[in-house]
Amino acid sequence: MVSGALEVKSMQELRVERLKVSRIELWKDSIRKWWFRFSKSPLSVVGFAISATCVALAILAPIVAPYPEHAGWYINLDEALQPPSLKHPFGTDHYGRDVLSRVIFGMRYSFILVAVVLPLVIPTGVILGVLAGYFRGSLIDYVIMRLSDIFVSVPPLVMALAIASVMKPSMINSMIAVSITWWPWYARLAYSAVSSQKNEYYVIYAEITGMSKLRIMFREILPNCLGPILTKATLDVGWVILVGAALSFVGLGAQPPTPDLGTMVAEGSHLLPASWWVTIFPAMTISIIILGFNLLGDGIKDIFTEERY
Amino acid sequence: MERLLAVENLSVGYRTYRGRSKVLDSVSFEVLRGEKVGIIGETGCGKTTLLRSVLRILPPNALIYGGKVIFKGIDILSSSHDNLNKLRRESIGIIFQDPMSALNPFLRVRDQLYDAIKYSKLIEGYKGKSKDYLRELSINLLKEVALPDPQRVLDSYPFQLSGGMRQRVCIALALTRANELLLADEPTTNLDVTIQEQVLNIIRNLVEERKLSVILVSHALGMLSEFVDRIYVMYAGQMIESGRAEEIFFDPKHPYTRALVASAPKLIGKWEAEALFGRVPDYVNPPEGCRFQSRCPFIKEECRVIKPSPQKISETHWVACHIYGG
Repeated sequence: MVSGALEVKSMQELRVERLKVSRIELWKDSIRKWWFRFSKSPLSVVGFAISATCVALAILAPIVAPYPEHAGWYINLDEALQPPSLKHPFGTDHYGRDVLSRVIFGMRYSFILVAVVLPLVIPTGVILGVLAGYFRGSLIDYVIMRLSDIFVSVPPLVMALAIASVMKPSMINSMIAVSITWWPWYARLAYSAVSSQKNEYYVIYAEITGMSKLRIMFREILPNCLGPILTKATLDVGWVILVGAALSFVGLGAQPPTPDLGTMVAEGSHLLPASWWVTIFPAMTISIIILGFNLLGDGIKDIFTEERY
Repeated sequence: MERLLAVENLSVGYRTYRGRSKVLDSVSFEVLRGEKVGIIGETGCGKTTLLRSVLRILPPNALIYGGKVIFKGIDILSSSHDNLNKLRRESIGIIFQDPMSALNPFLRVRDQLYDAIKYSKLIEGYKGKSKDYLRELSINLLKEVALPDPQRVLDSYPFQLSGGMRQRVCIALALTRANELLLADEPTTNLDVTIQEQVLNIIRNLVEERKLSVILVSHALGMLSEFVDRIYVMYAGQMIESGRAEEIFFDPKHPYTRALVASAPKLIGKWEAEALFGRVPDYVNPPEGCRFQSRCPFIKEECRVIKPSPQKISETHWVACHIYGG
């Protein structure tokens, strides 16, 4: 069955065979597979469309917005509190600024918040969670997980409010507040995922191979835990925006001239119900972004929960 | 022949919610250099625990009550981490029961094989050579386990392979470090019957070619007796009988071994196999005396009190049962 002398191909031949399937082809194939799983549920596709549109609008805000100068200090009392019309599809606020333009710029600030908070929070939480999960039952585990328990025991919004109110209200401080509230959730998620993977045979195998503990944690175990983490990250885009908006709403976030969605809702709230458009449109935008990213998250969950075997 | 591995009076248990269990009850056995040893017993009788304690990869709630595992004069259970690592890297390889979870689903076969090679003795030949050498080495390993199209297998993820192919990759992984002893923990249970035969043949050929010692753990006596030189019969964490394969298969002494032989379906005579009723005793409060007493048709007074000691039947054959004195 097994021949004694094994034929060994020349390196040239090996290289040629390896090149037959190029890396780009493999990537295309994976993307096709992911899209197949993702698009099984039409709602995920809707979610993808919504979130992609929002992100595109936010990035292209200065080009897309009809009156980019209305995003900052701009007063034109002649046009104050105009109801929605062709000229101002979302109406104008009490300073005569175009609400549509401000909403588009507002999305920009919301996504900046997300883009700062999540890259800060996810690595911190995940690294701590992986450490705690791998050294389950040891001192490291107790210190990290009890610390995260303390943070989790207070509702995130209340916690963020408390932290933000201690500091001077500003955009950066609200980012810090949200980040401090958010990491324990990732630590817990990574902790549970790692604990469930830890006793799999491949981990035991890596251990008897003689690999270092860091390598086992981050090369062997962590990739197998990425599914739930990525899913949560997508869902959290919406939630971080919501908490950021809540902070701005109570005046602890970005300060008035900045077209932050939460601040805009707060500014418009005393004009209700007569000039409803000043409040309703920013509020709806927040809802739509959250809805879009939740649906997108569901789709991403579908990609990962597909049976691997 | 030189003695390669000796397990002496090994007692292992687990911390459970009901208290401390005593799974292995002073188990002793030995493996000579170049010998194929089989350990047979039903599900839950401590076979996997035994194999895992040989490599000291017991789960965290395991308790070692006593005993020694001596590999080439070194006690594995008390050796330092470095010594243990050296043994794991250079001498002992293990094939796990479940090829589905033995490979990391997120890494390509090549990455896992390269890692295994990099952390093994084979790396000494690799020093100063290019990465192509690593690939060549891996391809040779995969060819040795008779995998068709090793190029494709190397570049695929575990989920793209069938169960038999995955088990062969696992064998190749074990080969990177099994230079003296190969532990096989029911390597064929999760495969379908036609693949079982192939996988066994591959293991047999490799073992004979490389002059390895093997411990093959299984619950299929027929398969085992065909493969190994010597068989140990295990019941509820105790070694109850041992002998050359043909002695156990054709002349079983212990009532449990007899039941095992009788429970295999035969092609001649009565078609129905005889089942053994009852189940393995509780490990938290194991019975006094012989652990087989609750299922034994020949039970005597002393079986309930005294643990039977091994009685010699022939030079190579012994049995621990009160029927044969002791």
